[in-house]
Amino acid sequence: MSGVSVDGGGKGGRRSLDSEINMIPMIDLLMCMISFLLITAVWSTMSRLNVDAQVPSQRNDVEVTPTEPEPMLHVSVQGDEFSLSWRKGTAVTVGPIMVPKKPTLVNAGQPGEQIRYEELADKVKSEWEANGSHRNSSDKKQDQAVLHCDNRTPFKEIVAVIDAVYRPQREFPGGGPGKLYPSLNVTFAMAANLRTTPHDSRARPTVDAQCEVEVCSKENSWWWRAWRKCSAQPDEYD
Amino acid sequence: MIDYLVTVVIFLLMSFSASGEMPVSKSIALPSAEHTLDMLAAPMVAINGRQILMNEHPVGSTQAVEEAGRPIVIDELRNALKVAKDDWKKVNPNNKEFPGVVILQVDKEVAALVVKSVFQTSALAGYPNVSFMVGQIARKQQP
Repeated sequence: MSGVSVDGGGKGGRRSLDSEINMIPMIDLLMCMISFLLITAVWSTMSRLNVDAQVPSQRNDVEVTPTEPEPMLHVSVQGDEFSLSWRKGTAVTVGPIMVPKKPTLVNAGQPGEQIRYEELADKVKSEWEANGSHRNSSDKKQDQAVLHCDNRTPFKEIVAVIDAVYRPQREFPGGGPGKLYPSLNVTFAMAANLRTTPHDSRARPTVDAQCEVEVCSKENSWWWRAWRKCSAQPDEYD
Repeated sequence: MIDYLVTVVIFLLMSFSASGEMPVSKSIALPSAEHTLDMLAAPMVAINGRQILMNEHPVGSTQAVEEAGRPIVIDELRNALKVAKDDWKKVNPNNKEFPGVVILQVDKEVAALVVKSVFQTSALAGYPNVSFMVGQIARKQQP
């Protein structure tokens, strides 16, 4: 038995005190704690990619005032290339710039195979450095990027494109010294022709605008336009 | 030996985190990304090749969305999200601003049409801040 002997001395003819601290329960406890911590350990932590729907922050009873549109980077995923353009409202101010679609495979041939678009990421970074409106580290606002993609595009490609758009990074006020955040905020270009699910029998007006709605500002977003067309009293976002 | 065990326990306790664990559906293979943000607590919507699930309850079918051919509002999901929003307001009645964050766990082979529909439905239900759950790839040093 493992233990610690505490010698009581033995002076004065007394018998020595031979008490031992039993270490076995302590070892058992430590072993149990190690087992528990190893079993409950999280070895693969998850992260997130933020995609903002650009909805207005005001309530519906407040009249929306139109604002001057800011230039936004539009990224279109096409067959074998990407198209980048800076647009102010509907007017194209820079571009289109074509970038070849050259995927780099990470963990190729394995179950965790991932796509990367390094060339697109480098081009987005240089474009933002040249034309971005919010490049100062004291600026709280992010520049906007709008992603256009075909409805059949697999999600792994969408994530690879969003990841490439998030390559340019900078510090933000209150974000902590040296901590970098994406300089651009991505949203999807959406069509305004909202419909309800096919089985829905409730009479709700549909929107038949076939053109793709451009995201210009929070007050003029696809969500806001679409919802105003769908319902006279948008009470959802309060 | 005791010293060794104590050291191991201290190391494991220091690296122990109760918040980093996020349940991921077994039917979903998540993509990974490099430029990511930390996870936060928010309603979770899972999309696999067949179903759209919220808190492991089916709230839509990906096949129905694909058959529609264009982005649609998924009513069951919208109602479930609104219920979650109402629940949040009951728990936080003191005029605290609703964060409007929803996290989507999307299988990497799911078509953009389904993602757009869920994204759109979430925004209409009052969740404009949509985040995609992804794995983390080691970040390269920027020049």
